[in-house]
Amino acid sequence: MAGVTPLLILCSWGSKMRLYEFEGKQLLRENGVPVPRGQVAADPEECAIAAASLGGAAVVKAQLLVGGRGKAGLVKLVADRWEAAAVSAEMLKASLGGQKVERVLVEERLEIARELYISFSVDRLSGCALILACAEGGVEIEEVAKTRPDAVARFHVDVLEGLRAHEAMQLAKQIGLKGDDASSFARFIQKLYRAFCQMDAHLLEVNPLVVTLAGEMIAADAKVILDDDAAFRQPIARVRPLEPGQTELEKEGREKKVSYVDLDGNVAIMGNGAGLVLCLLDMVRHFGATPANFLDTGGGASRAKAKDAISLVMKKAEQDNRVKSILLAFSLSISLPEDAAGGVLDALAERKPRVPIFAVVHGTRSELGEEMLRSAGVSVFPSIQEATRAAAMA
Amino acid sequence: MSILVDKNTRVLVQGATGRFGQIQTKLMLDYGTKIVAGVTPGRGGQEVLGVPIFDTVVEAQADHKFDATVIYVPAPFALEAAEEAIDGGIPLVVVVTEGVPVHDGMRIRALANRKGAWVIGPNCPGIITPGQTSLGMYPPSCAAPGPVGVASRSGTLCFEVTKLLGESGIGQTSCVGIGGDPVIGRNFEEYLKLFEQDPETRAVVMIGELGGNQEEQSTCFIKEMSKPVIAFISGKTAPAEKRMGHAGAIASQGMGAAVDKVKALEVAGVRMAETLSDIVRLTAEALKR
Repeated sequence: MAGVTPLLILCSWGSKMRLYEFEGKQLLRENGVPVPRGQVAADPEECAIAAASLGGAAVVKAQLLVGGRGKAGLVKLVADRWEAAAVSAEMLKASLGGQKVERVLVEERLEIARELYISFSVDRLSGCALILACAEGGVEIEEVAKTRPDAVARFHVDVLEGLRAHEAMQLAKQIGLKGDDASSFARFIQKLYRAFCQMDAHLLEVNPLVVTLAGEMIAADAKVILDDDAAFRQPIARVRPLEPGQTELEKEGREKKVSYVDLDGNVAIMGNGAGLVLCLLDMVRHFGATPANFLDTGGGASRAKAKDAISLVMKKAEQDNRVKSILLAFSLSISLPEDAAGGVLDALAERKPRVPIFAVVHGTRSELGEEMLRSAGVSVFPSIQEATRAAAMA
Repeated sequence: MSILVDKNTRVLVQGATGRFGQIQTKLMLDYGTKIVAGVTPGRGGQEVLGVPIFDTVVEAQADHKFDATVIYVPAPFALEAAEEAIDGGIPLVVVVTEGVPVHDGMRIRALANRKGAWVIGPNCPGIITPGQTSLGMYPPSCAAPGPVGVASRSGTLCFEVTKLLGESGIGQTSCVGIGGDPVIGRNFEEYLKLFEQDPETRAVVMIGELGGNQEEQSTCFIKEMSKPVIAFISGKTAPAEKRMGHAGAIASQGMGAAVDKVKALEVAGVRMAETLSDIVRLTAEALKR
């Protein structure tokens, strides 16, 4: 069952997709960034073949969307293909953070001289791309930032100029790199920055960035979060069959392009606009009930989307006996009452809700919306306060 | 007065010829907004509700002068439209469009900063100076003229708040949806500055939500304000922001949870509203002083 933290991620970051390590590395490879040679495997046999093609000695890494793999023993060095098979057999039975290991990445073993840290993210406040760099990679960067903040260098990139060579070099010097290491690092992070932009990422974190004994720089790990709003111009698909940790209703919400998060509660909620829906959640609690879900249709819900959204919420009520009412709020400006209320009517024509629906409709031509909902048996109230109270007390 | 826009503001509409753009253009015209022209590449020479359409901003500017533009184009073209407007020297750009890629949002912001343009949005209902003009799709029934400035990250929640304020006889100087995207043209702080400078605004209502740290950032300026600020933060019942990648944790330094924003704002002297009706009560009290 998904918790409230996914809701926070959804609202505060917009719609995003987190990639598996192997997917992130594939994107890096496509963008000309050196990554370890490797192959994905879904069973021990594939794993053995992959290890053999790398010469036997390899690293087997469970592919998950949560951190902490290393500590959980889900990243292992293997000496040959047989060990690779045995190790992957174990890994493919394991799970971490509620996610089952379905694939492993089998990679060449790198001869590590040192490990660095580099990340690129969107800094909301400044509107710039933010680079964080540290001469210590492979460790908990948050710890380093806390105990030795001077060890973490920050740089805001002017997105119109990109990351220029001298700026990248400056960053290299700032984290204590010298000579060839400094210039290799500078070139490497310029490539990484271009990749970060090219893939429309919210976050690209390479930890560790490995410098091999031979002096090569390689992205030994890659954490990538992509911007769903850029899907129209990116080849990579933005919807998985089922995101790990996602419930069926959340998956359906994603397919129907509404923001749906399952929660544990007794009032199912739906509205147009994240801030509005968050407010409904707060108010439901204020009146002593608990939200059963979060659902934002977006400011301009079409008739079809409104129908899909109310259907989702009705399904939630059907699946979860704790749900005692449905609360619905439409604030019409982009949305027309024919679409918003019309969609609800379409859904109600197909299935009867298990619990009563309480609604509030405001904005342009809201009277029509109210009329339409009332005609379908929805209890309409003049204010959010009253509608929420009614839903909470039902 | 108001902030940014009033009855004299000459407005260009980018994307007026689309189905959605036409509806919104009509609503703005009905409200009294001075829409002077529209730009839709390929539709130059046409007319929408009496508004002449041009292929480019440059061509439109040969005949007309604009103080502002409202952009309704679909997300894949929002950046181009904003670039054209900013390059054309239009000082105020309202990007209503939802779903603009964040990297485009960053470019729009950077371009605007370079040229000194003021961008509202992306992903916003725009700005209304009640009784005078509306740039965007603020529902007219939800706003009324009065002494309170309103700035909100959420569009639809803002409509609710100003509706309630209006029903209690508390009208607004200007209501602005600053944008719901991770990167928007201007942060809360800058709107607060404008309201502080506006002689007709006597109090400011701020509607924030969890995520990011705009509300926290604005506290420095709030402490210096002479006018009372009332704030409502939605999403208080969600717990602290989960770290997404270590970079996310450090970069935001644990900020982002609604509870933290409430605390920071309280310390800065902001009157915090627990519920929507609290906003009305606190604002009424603030105006009495």
